[in-house]
Amino acid sequence: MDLQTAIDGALVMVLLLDLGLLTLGRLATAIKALALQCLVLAPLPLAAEAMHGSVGGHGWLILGATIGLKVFLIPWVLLRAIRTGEIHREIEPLVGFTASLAIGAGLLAVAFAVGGGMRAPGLSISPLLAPAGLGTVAIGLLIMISRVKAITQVVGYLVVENGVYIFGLLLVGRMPALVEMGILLDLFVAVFIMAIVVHHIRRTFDHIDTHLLGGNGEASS
Amino acid sequence: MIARVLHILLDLALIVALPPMLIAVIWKVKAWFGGRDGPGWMQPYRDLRKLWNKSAVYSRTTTWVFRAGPVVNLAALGTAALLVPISGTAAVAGFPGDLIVVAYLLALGKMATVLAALDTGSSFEGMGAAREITFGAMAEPTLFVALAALAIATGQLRLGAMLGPVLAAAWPGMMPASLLIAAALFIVMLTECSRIPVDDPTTHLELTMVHEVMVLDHGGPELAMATFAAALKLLLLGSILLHVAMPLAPWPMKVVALPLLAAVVGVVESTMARLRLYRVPLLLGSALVLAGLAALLVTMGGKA
Amino acid sequence: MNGIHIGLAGGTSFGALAASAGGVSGGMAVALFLLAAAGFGTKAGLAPMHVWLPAAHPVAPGPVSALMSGIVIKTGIFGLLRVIFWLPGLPAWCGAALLAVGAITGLWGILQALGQGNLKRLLAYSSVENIGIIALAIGVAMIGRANGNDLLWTLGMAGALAHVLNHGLFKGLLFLSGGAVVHATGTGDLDRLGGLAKVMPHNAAMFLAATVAICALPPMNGLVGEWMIYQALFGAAMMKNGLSAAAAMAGLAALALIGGLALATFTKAFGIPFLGEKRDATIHAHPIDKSMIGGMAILAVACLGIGLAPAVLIPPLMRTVGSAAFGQSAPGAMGSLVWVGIVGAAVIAATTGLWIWRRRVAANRPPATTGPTWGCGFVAPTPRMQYTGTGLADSLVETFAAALRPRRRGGVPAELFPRSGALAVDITDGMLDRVHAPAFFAVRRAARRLRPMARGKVQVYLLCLAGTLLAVFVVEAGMEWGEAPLIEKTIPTIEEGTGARRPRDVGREMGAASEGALEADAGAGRPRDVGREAGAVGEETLARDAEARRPRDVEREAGAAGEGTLTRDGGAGGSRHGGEMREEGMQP
Repeated sequence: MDLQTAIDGALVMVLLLDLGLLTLGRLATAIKALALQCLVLAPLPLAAEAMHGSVGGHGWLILGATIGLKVFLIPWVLLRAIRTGEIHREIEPLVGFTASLAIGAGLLAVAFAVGGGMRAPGLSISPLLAPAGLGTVAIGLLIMISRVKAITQVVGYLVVENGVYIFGLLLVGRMPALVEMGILLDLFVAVFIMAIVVHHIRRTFDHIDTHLLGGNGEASS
Repeated sequence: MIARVLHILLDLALIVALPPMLIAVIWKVKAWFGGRDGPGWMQPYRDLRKLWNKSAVYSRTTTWVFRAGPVVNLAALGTAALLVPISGTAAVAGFPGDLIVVAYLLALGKMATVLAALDTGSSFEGMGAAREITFGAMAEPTLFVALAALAIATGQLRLGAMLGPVLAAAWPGMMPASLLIAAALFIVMLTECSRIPVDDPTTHLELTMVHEVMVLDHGGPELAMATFAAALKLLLLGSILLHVAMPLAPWPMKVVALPLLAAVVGVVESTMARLRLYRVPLLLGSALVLAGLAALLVTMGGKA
Repeated sequence: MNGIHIGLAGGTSFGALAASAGGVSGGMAVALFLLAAAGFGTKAGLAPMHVWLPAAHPVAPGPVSALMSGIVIKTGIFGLLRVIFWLPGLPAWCGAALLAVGAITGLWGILQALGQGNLKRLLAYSSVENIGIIALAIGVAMIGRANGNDLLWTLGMAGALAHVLNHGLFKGLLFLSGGAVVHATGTGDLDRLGGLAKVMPHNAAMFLAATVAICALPPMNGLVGEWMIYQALFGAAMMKNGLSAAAAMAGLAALALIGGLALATFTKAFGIPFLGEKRDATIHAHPIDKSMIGGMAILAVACLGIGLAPAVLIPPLMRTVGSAAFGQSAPGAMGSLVWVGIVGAAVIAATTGLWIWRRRVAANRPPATTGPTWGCGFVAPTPRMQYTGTGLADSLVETFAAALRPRRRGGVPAELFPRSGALAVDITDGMLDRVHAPAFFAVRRAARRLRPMARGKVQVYLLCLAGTLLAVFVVEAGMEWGEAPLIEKTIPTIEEGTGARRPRDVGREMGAASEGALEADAGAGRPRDVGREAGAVGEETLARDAEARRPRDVEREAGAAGEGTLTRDGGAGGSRHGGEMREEGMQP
């Protein structure tokens, strides 16, 4: 199995996890699936560098930081939030599981139709990058739109982030490591704040449905 | 040429002899998981012989449709078996577009079974029939989209050619897609052959069955035919699946892999519970999405 | 549409139309095609314009329904085909659009058929489904032509034409056989029938033969057309050409799903009335006439004959399809059609062989014994415990509840010592309420709907955001596809032209045909008169009324004829319709 096949396989795996996330009702499982998605994605920049030639030291650094943050720390924070929030299931999503799977499949088809024609400015490591990135962003948004619980919305947000990350791979070699580290830091802060907010909503309103935040207008945005 | 003839003979032998063995493997694996020894390896064969030697008991409600059901079912599956490559890459017979005919032969067998079940007038068998046509209708698109993905990847519409050397040559570029197709076909196989998680063939409650409850009123030789046909269906869909999943393996390995696939089915049956009925559409929908994604990937693969 | 076309042609003969159409290009060709698809599609019964068909066909007696479903609606397909043959420059997206409409029609038709409790309405909806399959096939053929792909054009078009013929045969058989059931029992209500195979075994065999054919199962003829259509779809998918491949893939999934649902629908249509035990003791079926069976047998033999020797269709099909610029290089692909027949023969041979073997084995054993159906230990089973048609279809109806919107009356008794309970599931075609009416009021409602969007829900805002994003991407992609070159032709001068409109004649012929059939039906004097009157008035209406009215008139005519024949003494329904039509006819 060569590197190209491995990269393609990883991207397909990411897409499958996207669709899987649409059908999972149990929050803890969804968070673990998300962690798995991040784990699959983590080595891709390294693989891209290997394809283009040399593997620099900062590649390993980013790999370590990504795994540490997105595979362990963030899921841990989220799992803690659902434990303290005592929320375990997405019981009544706005869009049913079968329906969201169908919509997700449709979004993927659109992503492939649109992204299939996109060409990266430099050397691309896989023809699947653009469709996979687009599809992941779209499904992340779908998760945020169709689910009620705040935690699931965070999961959706992270899926969107993963999609952007895949897009970033199109620019591999052009983005300084410092920027990537900055994004990671941003992300962590964002999730941390969201976890605090979730906890706060729970303490204040005794549930974490976003349904009832509507009256407050700007409070949830 | 001689090799081709030998493969045809081997295929015919496998069609006749192997299906009960697959059932035996599933039983054994399930028994091991349950901490038992299980019935002997030859038990399905002995069962078939015993049934074949019995005389029949027919319900007074039934007509010739009931008696013709298992016969047509077995005849349809037997004909389909001649078009599916089992040991070699070429089937006993084949022509461009035979994959469509194979799918519709399976459907003919299904219709025969369902009508025979309805002919008994039993509410249990009506229930089984209702579930069979429901799941069958939903599994059909997955099968066709999976086959279409293979057709796009190989440019062939003959099963033998589609699953043959062309697929092996295309394999490095389409491995992710192949695995998706294999996964989709696995779900189709579990559905079509009425295995867990769609149907529980060994439960003691008629209310939870699909295929077994449809053949509840069959006895003697009719039951033998229905049982053998069900096992034959497992062989056919399993062969297609294995050709997709391991196109690079030499042919003896594919034959050996058939019982191993049955073992995997046994493991699934031992470790999973049957899905609630209204969750089955989600499972089959997921299979369709897998097949569709594979089709997208192979279409992309051609462009890049 | 014809006005424009006739204007272009400067004449009304098919020849003049054909000669002028070759020069029609780009936008005008597309406009002509879309108008023709809407007009002839209504005639043929394409969704969402199919709503008249299931209301019209079941009220006629069996033989008339057989003609209407078998032949009359095909005139719509015929008209559509003529226009498509005249316009070779149509872009691929027209084909994809027709394919999509065909797929939707097919799925909608078969789902509605599945939910019907009345045998003849079920059959009428299945005609909608088959028209959908035919339109889908024509769509693939057009995709093939636009891409310069000979094989696709041939397979798609030949598949469509073969299916037109085959559907005429097996649907005719189904209506005759189903009509015989209604005739013998006095009802078409599936849930009240049962066990008819014992009373009318020959009719049951005929219905079963047609069932196998309509589900496209070997060895009957239904598979022949669908096999070609599937091949065309596979071929289109293999072109790996954005829009075409996507349409073909969706068509493939839709056709497979239609196939699975058709199997479910027709196991219900055959299994419930013919198999099991009698469900309603008040219905006394009498065996039917031998002569009726004779007529059906001709159709059944034709179905089997085409199924076993599909090659007989190749020469006429190739003549028709090859008459266009395409289709000259494809007979090779049709060659393997012979194999479909061989497989059919193999199934018959295998069945016969197994059957004989089984009989031999039985001869050496103690004779078979009979007993009651095994009730899993329950000792007092009654025929009312059988699964009904509603029950058989219910899990599929539930699965597709979003499309079917079944209404449930009654339910399962819940108390500890349950009294009697009843459950009825009503399925009405929601297309009228959900597509036609909303289309009229869409603008007003859209304006009203915009308001509540600003209610402060994060999800709604996000939806707008995502939707916009998606739209931008789609537009982007569309611009990429739009670069494909269209076939350019010179634009002829547009001349004013009027004259009698050709399709009316078709309508007139139809009127005459159904009249003839009514006469052949040999009813009592009075109903026949009603029928004739209706026919005559219908013609008059056709002559004066606007063209868009045509299908409705045919429907009425059928309604009048059917009711006239069914209610013997009271031409009540018939004359009412007749009166209504006369009034309309009087209007200048």
